[in-house]
Amino acid sequence: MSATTLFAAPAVSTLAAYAGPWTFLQAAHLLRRATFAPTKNEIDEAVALGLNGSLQRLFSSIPLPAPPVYYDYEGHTQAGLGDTWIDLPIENTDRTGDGNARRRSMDAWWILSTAADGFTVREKMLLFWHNHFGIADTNDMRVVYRFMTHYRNFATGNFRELMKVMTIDPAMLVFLNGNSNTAANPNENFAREILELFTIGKGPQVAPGDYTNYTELDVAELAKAFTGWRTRYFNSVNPDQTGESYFQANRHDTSTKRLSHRFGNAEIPNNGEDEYKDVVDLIFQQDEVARYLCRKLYRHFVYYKITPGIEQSVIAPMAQILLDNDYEVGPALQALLGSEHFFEMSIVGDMIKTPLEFVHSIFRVTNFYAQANITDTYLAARVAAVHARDTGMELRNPPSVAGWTAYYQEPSFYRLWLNTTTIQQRTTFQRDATLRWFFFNRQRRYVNWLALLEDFANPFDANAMVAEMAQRFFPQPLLAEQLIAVKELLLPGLEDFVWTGEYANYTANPDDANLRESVSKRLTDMMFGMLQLAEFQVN
Amino acid sequence: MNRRNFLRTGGALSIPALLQGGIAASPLELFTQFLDPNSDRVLVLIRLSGGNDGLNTLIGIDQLANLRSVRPNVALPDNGYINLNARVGLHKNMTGMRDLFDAGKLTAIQAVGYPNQNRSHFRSTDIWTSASAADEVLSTGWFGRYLEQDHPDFPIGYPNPEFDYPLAMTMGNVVSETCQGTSSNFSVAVNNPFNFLYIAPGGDTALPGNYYGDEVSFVRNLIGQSNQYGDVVQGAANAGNSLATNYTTGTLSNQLRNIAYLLSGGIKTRIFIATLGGFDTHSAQVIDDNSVGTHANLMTELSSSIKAFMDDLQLLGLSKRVLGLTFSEFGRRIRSNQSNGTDHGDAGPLFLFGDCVQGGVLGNNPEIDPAVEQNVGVPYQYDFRDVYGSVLVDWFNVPQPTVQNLISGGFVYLPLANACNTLLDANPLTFDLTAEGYNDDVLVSWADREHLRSGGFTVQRSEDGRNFRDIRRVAADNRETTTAEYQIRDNNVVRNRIYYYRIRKDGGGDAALSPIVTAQLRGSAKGEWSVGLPRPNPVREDSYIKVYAPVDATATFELIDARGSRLRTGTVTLLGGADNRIPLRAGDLPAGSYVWRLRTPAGQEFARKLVR
Repeated sequence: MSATTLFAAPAVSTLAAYAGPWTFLQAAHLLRRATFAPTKNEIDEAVALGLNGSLQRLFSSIPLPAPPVYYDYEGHTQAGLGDTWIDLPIENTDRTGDGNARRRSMDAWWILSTAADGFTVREKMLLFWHNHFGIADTNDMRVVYRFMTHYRNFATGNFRELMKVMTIDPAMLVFLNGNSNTAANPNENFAREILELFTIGKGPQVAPGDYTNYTELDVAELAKAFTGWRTRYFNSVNPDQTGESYFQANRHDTSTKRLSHRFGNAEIPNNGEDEYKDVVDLIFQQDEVARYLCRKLYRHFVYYKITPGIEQSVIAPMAQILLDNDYEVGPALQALLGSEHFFEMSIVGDMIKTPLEFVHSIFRVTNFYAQANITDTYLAARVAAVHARDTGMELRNPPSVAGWTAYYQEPSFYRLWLNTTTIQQRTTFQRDATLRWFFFNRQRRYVNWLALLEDFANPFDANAMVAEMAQRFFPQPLLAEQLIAVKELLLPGLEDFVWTGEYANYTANPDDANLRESVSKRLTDMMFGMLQLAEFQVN
Repeated sequence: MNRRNFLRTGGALSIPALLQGGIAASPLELFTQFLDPNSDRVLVLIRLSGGNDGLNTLIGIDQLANLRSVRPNVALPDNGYINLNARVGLHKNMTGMRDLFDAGKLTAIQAVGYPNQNRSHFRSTDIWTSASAADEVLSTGWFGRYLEQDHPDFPIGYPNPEFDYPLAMTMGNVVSETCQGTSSNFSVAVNNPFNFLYIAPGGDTALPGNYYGDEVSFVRNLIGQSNQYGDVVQGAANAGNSLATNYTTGTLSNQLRNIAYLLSGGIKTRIFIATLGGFDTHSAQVIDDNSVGTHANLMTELSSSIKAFMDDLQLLGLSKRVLGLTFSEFGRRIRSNQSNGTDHGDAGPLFLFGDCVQGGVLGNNPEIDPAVEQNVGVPYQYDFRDVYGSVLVDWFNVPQPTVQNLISGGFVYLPLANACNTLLDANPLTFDLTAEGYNDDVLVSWADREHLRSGGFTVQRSEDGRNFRDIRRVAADNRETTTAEYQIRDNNVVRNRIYYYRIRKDGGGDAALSPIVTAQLRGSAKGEWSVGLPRPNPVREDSYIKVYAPVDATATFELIDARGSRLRTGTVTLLGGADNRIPLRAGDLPAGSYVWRLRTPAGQEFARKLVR
């Protein structure tokens, strides 16, 4: 899938370690890419830690986020509001109600759990793997929770071992028909996708049925090797049963599978329920797997255009690190995020925000998810989930096994997140977050922009406040004329000192609701205009 | 077209409307509806941001000596103003607006404000834009509420084939709170109508030619494409014209010229809001002989821009369609400060302009007490909500009961913008009419500069501003050769009521009506009781509460702690028609929360919470 061009690529920076300045801008860039919507504290911390210290922190292992809970459902005999359902059978007396409650909970939890632990690359990798494997339409949320946990546990771990785990994951077996793949009736669906999308990738078709990296014969033979796996106990009401996969020997094809010259005419002898591991090991012997994954990581973390120059000076050495580390993802990704290429000013802010990044970039930084109780917290997250869904990212259900088109579709890539409809929906969301409110649980919920000023270096000085706000919300510095235009929103026709006086007046009279309302209105007017800048749509 | 809207526009001609209005009850209102069944009238609001110093804008000539004694470093010299009439002048730089006044196309209203004036820029702007009372928070703007009647679903389903234009437009980057509706703001911010495809502030700045620049550029183009009003606005601007050559190079001229382009290009938007900033003149308001400097430059920009705009509209054949109104969040204090500036004050003058204003000066020169205290502002004579309400009545034909619902606290009708509705031309210069309330009677004075061929005068009075009765006939004084001056005293009046006067010049074949003026007896209640919030709160020794009393009064207060025990009681003597500062002397209160309660002589109670 590498992009090619007729022209000689310009000289590009390489994977060599970045040694330039380390300021708020670079620290924020690293965290905007490696995490979701970093807060001021996190960026300050990264500045203090330095590049290497920040990378170490991002890649260190941390406990799993708190599991999803019931937030609006009290129909389960063994659990109430705030209790998790991940170890509970479906409530026998209310199967539909319980199932729907878990789906609602999971949608909100997707938002909350990815926003919970800021300083880690794990959550971006959760999204990476979820997009990579593309599993959708699983209706048992315990099964979804389990594969999401795999993604988190293997976030920057061993790609080959994750591939093995996912090959027999019950959700994957259902999703790509592995559970109906038998010796008598082979189903090639999973075998095709593991080659085309999960590991080695489809190269140019050079002969009938020959895609450079594999052939149709390989698809058929691998399908045989994967036979025999089945699934059971989805949505079980029995406390001893939970959705799982199992191997049924009499459905397994025991013949020796013979691959094409693309795999050196390798042979896979029968190995029963361990045979799938042999297959994965064999595929991963092809170095193209490393390059394929590194291109994909590049598109998730850097930019979508992969020129021959980048292929040579970034992808190739990165893939070598992946191979040198026996497919441990961490070192290769760490090299990418610490490279001189990654910190080029051309790269800073060159990704259009995904819907998930978009909602987090408003709600996470304003602490909107921290509502008074678990119900409201989940409902706030649902607002985000619904918006992400409506603008093209239904988190539980990627549109196809290939993942979201913005990550792979030539030539538009990230630009596919935005069109005249979704940009208006984003504007509406921005309006609700500033001039208006969100409504749930019978109340208007306002984003508290005034509170954001509390940790500003100098919230009293209009210029300093606008500049600091811009620094937090935009990847690259705004031009002086843009800052002036933004300040004009705060102080239409007024001198700078008016803000100083009014904000000081408010902080001296914090209980004066009218005054608070007035100062807040000025600030939200400004934020609405500020968030409408195109620069807010990029990361 | 939805049903409500049909009733509003088409329904004006229907029979039920005739019956409902009743010819005897409000003939002018009815007449207006016939004149303008498909109104294309436009309101242009000009916001003077920062708090305009009204005392150096509209000059009370008879007060100037006193004013100079309390603001020697700011008040204008004798050659610093120009006359509108014998008693009232304008800053000398406002020749354009003086010309409009002479042509009967400018009305000045003295001391417009509201009870319990708030001196915070932000809060007072909120009060002016929402038309709320000082101690009330309304989340919608006064014009937003008006638009919402016809467009209750906005913005869902907008734009649509019938309303493909912005319902309201703010010239600049910020939408005005004046047009805030319940669910969204009706106005669209238009900084440059000729390049309106990208709307965010600073949105058309240069971008680097790299990946980052490519992506931001992509987003900008997309935002432009999704701007639903882009084509309509840009199309109107390009189709429009501007013919006047006397605009300035300043920001207000630029905004008003854009409005001229848009209107002549056929945009159907009914309200435009322009802003002129820089009025927060705490220091260096004036330099040299006090007639030049920051404020003088602002007066030039204001006056010259309005004049050019009116000339432009005349040349474009649009002048009868447009009414202009200036406003500012507050006036400034009577005494100047040591920095050759003035601090936040209370009421200030307001101007209306257009072919259909009634002209003249409404209200009396604010009296300047030479012993006035440092923190005193100009007390209000007219509530700004009366102006808004009257504009809705006169200009947009909104029935009075409906206006009562749109304007918080109701309003008193002032005849401001109905000159195009009356049969006779009103020439303010011919009459120079004033009416001033005293303790027992109203002094109505006028002059006649064209007294030749006069058959005499009839003084007319009204109690609603619409239905006038003859109350006195005065013979012409034919002894004078240039100007004849007349006055009568009307003692058939009572307190707490507003009276409207006008003069009809009889005979000589060209009967003429004067503009209408209003008067109230001294001691008349103006507005309602209004009690502010404690400031600062949590309270300190110097915390206070502002109380506005409509008439002189003695009120009782008490301070109650959280357990309900009455800690203090007392009485306060309050000056009528003014804001009174009641010190709370809270320095020795133990920590806790308290209730401060005020009881008016009529038994009305206000409670305010204190935290110590």
